[in-house]
Amino acid sequence: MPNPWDAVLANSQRSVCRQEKDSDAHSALSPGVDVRVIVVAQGIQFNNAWFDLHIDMAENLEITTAIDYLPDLQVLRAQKTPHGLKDTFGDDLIMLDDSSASYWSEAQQVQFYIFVVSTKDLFIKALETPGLHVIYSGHARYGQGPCFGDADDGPGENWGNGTDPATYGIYRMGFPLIGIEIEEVLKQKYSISPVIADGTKPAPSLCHPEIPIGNLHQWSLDELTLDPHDNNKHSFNSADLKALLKPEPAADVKFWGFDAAGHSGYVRHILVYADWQNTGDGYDYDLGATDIQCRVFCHFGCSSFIHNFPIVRERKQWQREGDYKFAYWTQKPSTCPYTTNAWLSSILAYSKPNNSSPWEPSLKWALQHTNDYLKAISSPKWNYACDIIDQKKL
Amino acid sequence: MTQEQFNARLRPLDVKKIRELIALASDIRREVNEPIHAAISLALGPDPKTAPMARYVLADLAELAVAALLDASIDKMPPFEQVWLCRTVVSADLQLRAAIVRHLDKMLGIKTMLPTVKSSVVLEESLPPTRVCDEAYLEMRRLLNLAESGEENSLAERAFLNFSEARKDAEIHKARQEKTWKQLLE
Repeated sequence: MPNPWDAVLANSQRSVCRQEKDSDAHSALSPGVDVRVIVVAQGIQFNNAWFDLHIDMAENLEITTAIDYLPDLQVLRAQKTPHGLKDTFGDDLIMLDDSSASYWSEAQQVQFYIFVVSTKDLFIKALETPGLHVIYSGHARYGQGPCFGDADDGPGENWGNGTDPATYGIYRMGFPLIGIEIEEVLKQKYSISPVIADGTKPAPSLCHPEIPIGNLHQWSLDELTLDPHDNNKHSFNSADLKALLKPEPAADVKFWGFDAAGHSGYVRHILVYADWQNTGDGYDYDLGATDIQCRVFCHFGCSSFIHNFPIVRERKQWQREGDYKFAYWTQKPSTCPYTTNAWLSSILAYSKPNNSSPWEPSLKWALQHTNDYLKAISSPKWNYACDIIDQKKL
Repeated sequence: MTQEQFNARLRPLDVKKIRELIALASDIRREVNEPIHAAISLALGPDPKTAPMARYVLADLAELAVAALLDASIDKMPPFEQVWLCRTVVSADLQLRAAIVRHLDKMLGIKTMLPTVKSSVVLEESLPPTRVCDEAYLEMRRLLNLAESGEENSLAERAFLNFSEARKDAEIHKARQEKTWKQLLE
């Protein structure tokens, strides 16, 4: 499958056209114009197809209690990318088709292109394309990595390794071992590879930093499904959990687990393999197998700084080199469609000459302004502030 | 820019009009900085009558003058003026920091809960409800723990937010008793 941005990159070597698609108007820019290509990789549940489905449902008044958290149509539409940028840039943002747009910044003297993709293969290709500005906008999967799916966000393997691992499911970018809430696994119904307890606690270097190694327990399948507050009460059915464990465990086996704060209070977690490399079984869709060549990588899922910064920057050793290899993360839970559109708005709105210049000043400016904007639009009711960070403290 | 002029420019906009809001901020900054730049020019100039007056005004403006002072090129500045500028900006920063510390210390005693916020989409992660004093404590940490890396800071913040209220209160109390904090409050 051709990459949507290939043609633009090829043309940018010659000249760049600013007219709308199918327009007869001619406005070719001269060679040498600074063309910057931004690829937004939308994850499962936060992609344009998902928003379209829910906009359609809302328009037809089919909103159910399951999606009553969605405030209104305007909010749904604002979260699509690049469509949501229209409110900010009006007709200056030219939609090339339903998933791409161009924007000429007169102030920066830079031609921007934004392409939205929603599959794992295109995300990997974007990461491996020199010079791109790549944004992942989706769930962090508790640090397991970017995760892809289509408009259907129902339970299933796309929340794990994917029904078609080349296209959907998790692109592994996490610590070798991660703690996942039992409730989450059962809610999304995807297979996990649990860490079998053999009496020796896992090495701290393998563990996500929030795994409480001192408080790890060796639990049977039955114990894993108990209520952390009441050892005589089951929160879940152990048979449901057993069906999702790969490989299928023997009857008397125990697993490492712990109790900690989770999405719905103090909940039980199970340790799973989530390694960013050597995933095995022919599953090559991980950071270890990726030759990152892009110029900027942003992970705007929840708390990606804690989950993935140490992996990408320290273990993978993809480190900043001069004006290349920038990376940006979130410090808190992130409403990523808003985070992404706010970041894109700041990148496009930078108002100093930027043509053929280092990217760092405009990225620094965008970092500050995106955080300022997300704090400004937050309210006592809705919180969008996720604190984007490079690696320094804010 | 008068209050009426500001309102007239802001009210027709909405929060999505980022370019217009940035331009508005930029115009305000330009207007504020105009007399400050004039003062800096005189403060660094050769006139023995106006220079000390301008330096006095800039010192009085304190934090309002810092950004413009830092924009002044020190390359060809005589040593006396270089040192004066350095002392002025640091002094302004210390005054501002003292005011921030006093403000934060007051907030550290406010136990009112923040409203429970939602997100417009389903998030996998959520942080527990916080109080004004919890948020102030996190800002206090940002201000004081200069040697802490970004990773250490993020992990410490999340750990703190997941503590029980009693444990958070104990952490806040301990931090307020630290010698550095007390000295900053003096």
